[in-house]
Amino acid sequence: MLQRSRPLFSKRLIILLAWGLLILGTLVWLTSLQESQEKKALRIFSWSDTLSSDILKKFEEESGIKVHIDYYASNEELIVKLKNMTSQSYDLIIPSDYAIAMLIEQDLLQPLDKSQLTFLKDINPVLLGHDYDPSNAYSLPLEWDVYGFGIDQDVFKDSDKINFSWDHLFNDDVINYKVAMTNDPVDAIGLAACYLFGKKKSLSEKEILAVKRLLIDQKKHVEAYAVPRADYVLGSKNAALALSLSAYILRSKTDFPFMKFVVPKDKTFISIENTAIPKNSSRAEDVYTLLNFLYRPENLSSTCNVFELFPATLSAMEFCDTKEDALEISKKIQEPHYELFFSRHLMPEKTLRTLWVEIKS
Amino acid sequence: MEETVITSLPRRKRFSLGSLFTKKDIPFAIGCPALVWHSLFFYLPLLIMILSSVFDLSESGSFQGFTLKHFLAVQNVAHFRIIFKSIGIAFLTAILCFVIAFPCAYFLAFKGGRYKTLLLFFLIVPFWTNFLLHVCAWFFVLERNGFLNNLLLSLNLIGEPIHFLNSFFAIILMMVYHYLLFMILPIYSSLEKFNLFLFEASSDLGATKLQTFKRILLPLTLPAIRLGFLLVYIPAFGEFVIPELMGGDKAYYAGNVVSQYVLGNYTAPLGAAFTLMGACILMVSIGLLLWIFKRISKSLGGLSV
Amino acid sequence: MLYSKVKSFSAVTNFSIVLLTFLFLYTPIVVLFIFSFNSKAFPAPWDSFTLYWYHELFQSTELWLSFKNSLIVATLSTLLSLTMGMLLIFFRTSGGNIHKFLPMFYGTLVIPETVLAVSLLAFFSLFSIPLGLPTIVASHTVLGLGFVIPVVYTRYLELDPKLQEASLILGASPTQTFFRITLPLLRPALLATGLLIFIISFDDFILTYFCSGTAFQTLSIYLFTTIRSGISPIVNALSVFLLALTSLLVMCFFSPKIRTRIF
Repeated sequence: MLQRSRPLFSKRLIILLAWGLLILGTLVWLTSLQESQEKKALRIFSWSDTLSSDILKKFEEESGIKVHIDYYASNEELIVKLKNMTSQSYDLIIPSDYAIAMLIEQDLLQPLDKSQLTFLKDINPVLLGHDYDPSNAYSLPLEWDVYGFGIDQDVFKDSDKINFSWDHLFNDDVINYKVAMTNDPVDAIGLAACYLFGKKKSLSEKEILAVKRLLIDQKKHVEAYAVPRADYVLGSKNAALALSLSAYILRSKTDFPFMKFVVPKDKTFISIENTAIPKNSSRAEDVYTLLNFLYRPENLSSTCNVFELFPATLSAMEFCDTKEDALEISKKIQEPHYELFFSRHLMPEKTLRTLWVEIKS
Repeated sequence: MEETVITSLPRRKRFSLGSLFTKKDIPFAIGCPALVWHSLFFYLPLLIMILSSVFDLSESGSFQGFTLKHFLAVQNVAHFRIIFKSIGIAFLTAILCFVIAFPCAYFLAFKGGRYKTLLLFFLIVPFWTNFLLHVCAWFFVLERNGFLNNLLLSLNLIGEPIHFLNSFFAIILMMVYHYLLFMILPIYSSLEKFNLFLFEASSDLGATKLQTFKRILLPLTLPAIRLGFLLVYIPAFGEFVIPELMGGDKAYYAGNVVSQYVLGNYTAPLGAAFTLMGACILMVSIGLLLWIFKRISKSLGGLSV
Repeated sequence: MLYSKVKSFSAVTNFSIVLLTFLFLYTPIVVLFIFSFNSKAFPAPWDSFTLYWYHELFQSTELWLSFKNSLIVATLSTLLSLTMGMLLIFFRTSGGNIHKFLPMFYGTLVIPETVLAVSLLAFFSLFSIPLGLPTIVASHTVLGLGFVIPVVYTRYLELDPKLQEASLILGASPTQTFFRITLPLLRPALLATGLLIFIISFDDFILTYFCSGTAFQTLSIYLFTTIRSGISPIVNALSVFLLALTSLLVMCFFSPKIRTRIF
């Protein structure tokens, strides 16, 4: 009887392993099936709030080129995916500003053939020639918005006269109201560092501690950490000043007349979404057609209206809902001595996240 | 020379699947997918996660070897504070759920009568909706100009709107709301099967209502209470959506930390190490809870399970 | 005298607790219902009655796409869980012994969902399996199995073994016994558990949040991203719709007519 149990055990083990391979194999096969379906279309990899599917559908109808769009949640995911995809690459990507620098460094982009593009003269000059791609050889701005404050005009009466600065967000002496802060650790720590030390490439240990101190001190004034919900927090009057990207405040302005968006003096963070073509893409021609389509004033402005972002081209700005704000902000940031910063990693990811957890605990 | 005939060695059977598997194995072959699935998608991933906490990843994500540095990095005052906060909130939620659930289950089981199933149905209906819709709904009620504040203002009970949201109160409220059913159901099904004659017998033998409650009802329902308690306590420990949405993301609990680390880039091993540490502490606390339950059942005298 | 006072006092408190609980459970839902007809988005106060948001609801393709996805995932997971559970019971009726394997399935109740989600994510990225529909179904099935096996097996043990013995003695093979005796007897438990798993999978958030990547959206993920960026009354309309739908389904399920046919 003991003799039987040994072969029984190994028999069962073989059966179990066979089933295991079968299940795992089916899973892998199914997922690869999904991927092969998307091969024939032009593949776009983008943020979720950047391109509207209606415009893409219009493009499909007009040009006959099928488009498939995937979304990524962070620039790091974009870089990792691009590095690992040698066979079927994406044809068009929409990375943020600092990601372009990293992509160029890792040789993942192909230079743009400017002769194929019809809209170059139209682009707002304040968006060109930044550090991450000085001659814009690899990328062109598509949409942009800035970090600023959404304010409750019932609390800040005579808001036109007040010169809003970063003290209104970080300085204890100035703040006697509730604020809404961003819940993105990269942006929050970046803003704090910028407020304390100005433009920096990385932070020393002492500086990191100072940033930590500042953010912990700020906690008592914070109503909520929620950048995408900033307009909600402001609109429900739970906070009087909300740190937010312009897009989130401007989209709710019509519902709440007491809301206003202001850009702080001296400096702010700007966020530019750019179009770029990965090196491994073989369909650059079709991408240029798509780009020329996207940048047409009526298309770009309608895309931007969906998400309340500012378009990169001046003619598209004419058609935008947010035209006045766009022009006003554009003027302000072009003033001399105005510093524009890009959100970037000032420290290794691990330190950043641990720091954020410590601040929040 | 004598021929030595080798007869002691058995003849080796040729390896063939036909002779290896008999008809008797077919039921097992059919019945085991569940085991395989669970091992493949539950135990194996757990093992991998435990292993990944000792992986060393460079800045760009390539594997560099094994290290214990993540465990060291996780030994951090902030981390411990968060874990103990999570235990506290999970425990509080479970207690509150119990305080509300037991009278409800009691009422339903014993006083419900004909309407028992109907009442149970109405109790369960709110839980059919998606949890995130519940969060939405509570926003409407708790907002500054939401339902509750408007009600209190119109009844002149308060002069100014009370600030409910983005606070600890809101988090606890939502937690209890979300987990209440998990406490009610086990207690209800245990009370429903309760033999009412035991009550009669006990009062016949001269016990007061309180004594009956303490020495008959409570010990017999204690296993169900314990189950309900664990069904609430364990998931509540790992909860992160509720603190983020209802608490304004102002306070971090265990779940928030895990999602921060895991969804970040190449900080996943740190997340795994933190999860392990949290899970260990959770296990210890569960052991403590079970011991407490044992002591309670012993001290009640009565029947113990 | 005192005894009856205490008795009525406890009865009153008992009743009032229950009443307050129902109030607690239903207030947000009622408020949600009312505000789904508000013409202005929250947090603006009540403006005027409108059915605009319901109209918008049925126009939003993205929402219905995620709804469809959730349905597909829930159905597949339920079917897989139930099938595998039944196969395990089949093994038991054919004389196998699964008692020592049973504790294996209690694991899902002991581990917080976040831990499971993180582990599955590590598993999938180790084997380079891209996240999407198959991975979500696989993970939800794990949850489902954690319910099916304990519940159905316990119910199976409660069945009168004499029925199965009788069937075997009368000459039926174990397969026939399984399909004609065991399965029909277990049908109520299977259906109830199936319904439970369906709801859990449909509403599931944490597991899906970690394991679905960005390409595949279920309703929970869609709602989460919507809430994160502000609440539109479309969500109200959706919740009213879902509530009506599920109540209708459950009422049908529990109505006497169908009950006698299934049970």
